[in-house]
Amino acid sequence: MNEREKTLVERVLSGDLSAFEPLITPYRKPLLGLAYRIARNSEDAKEVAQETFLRAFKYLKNFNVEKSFKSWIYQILVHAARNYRNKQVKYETLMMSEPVKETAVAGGDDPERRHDDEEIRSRLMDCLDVLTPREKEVFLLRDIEEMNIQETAGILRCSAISVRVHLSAARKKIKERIKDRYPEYLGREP
Amino acid sequence: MNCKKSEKHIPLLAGNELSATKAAKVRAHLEKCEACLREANEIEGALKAAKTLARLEGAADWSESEWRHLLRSIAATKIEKKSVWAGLSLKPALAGSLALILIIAGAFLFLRKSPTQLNTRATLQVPSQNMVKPDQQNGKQDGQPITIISKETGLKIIWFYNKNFNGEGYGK
Repeated sequence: MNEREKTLVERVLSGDLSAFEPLITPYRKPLLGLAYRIARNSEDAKEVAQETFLRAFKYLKNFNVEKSFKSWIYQILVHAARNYRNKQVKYETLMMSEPVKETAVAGGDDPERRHDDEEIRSRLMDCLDVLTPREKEVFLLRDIEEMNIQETAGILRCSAISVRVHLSAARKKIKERIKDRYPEYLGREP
Repeated sequence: MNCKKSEKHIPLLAGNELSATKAAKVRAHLEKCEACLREANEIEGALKAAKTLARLEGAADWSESEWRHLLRSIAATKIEKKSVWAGLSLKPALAGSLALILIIAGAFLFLRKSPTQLNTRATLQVPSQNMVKPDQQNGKQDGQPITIISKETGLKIIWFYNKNFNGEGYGK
């Protein structure tokens, strides 16, 4: 854990609640982005991210300052997303309805940019759709958020071997989907 | 390394997650096998494509009013006291294994104890005052009775044996 975050955590725990905002601001966009990719819907993503920040504040006393705050808060997010997904599945089964997909999060007021963003987002979501929930979590954390295997395993509370197995399967499935539907992206430089 | 093993490692090679030794073995195989090399290039390309899509997607963000509202909600929340169980949470698989071990150990102890208990549940009385001795009826004192009473069922077994019996003629 970096010194800045450690100091901020200690300040919050000693009663200076204003220190919480600078502590979570660096995670404002990344957590919402990850929540969106897991939940596939901006309203749900905001709810999951909000729940994550609230829980992080509520249970900050349980956080071990010697460990990574980033891993801890991502762990909360993954857990919150799983809970939310389970609730949604129950609700959808009850209502016999299709899951709600796609509403814009970013793009601002520019309609052209917004359209492009939505197009790209729907393609990425389409690729992620072939993955199982666990493969999706592993792929997003390791390949999109660029965390290492150990961090990913820590966040998902599983072994590094399990991460490698799911990552391997996820990459094969993503390759098949991109090759079938979006071959124009193959060979592009990131 | 053969194609089957190589196929298993190719997705991890694309993300540099293999050990140096294993990566060298896979690369050596790729130099010889065109099909595996094609697979490796496709996976690497797909991985780059997914990252490109994620980068082009544009970062989702909160509006300022939503962010302020969230911060106000946080400010209205109380920090929980540190849980006594904090840090003691077990993975479900580990908790299940521990429970299973405890059940097996308990069953083992119970079964190990049972034969001893069975031995002590019967009392041995030698000789009994109120016992009918068949040999007394004949005016002889050669019959030796042993009574075994079960504490559990109350079953009484009286065993007489002749102390003069020397085994002669037995089995004829």
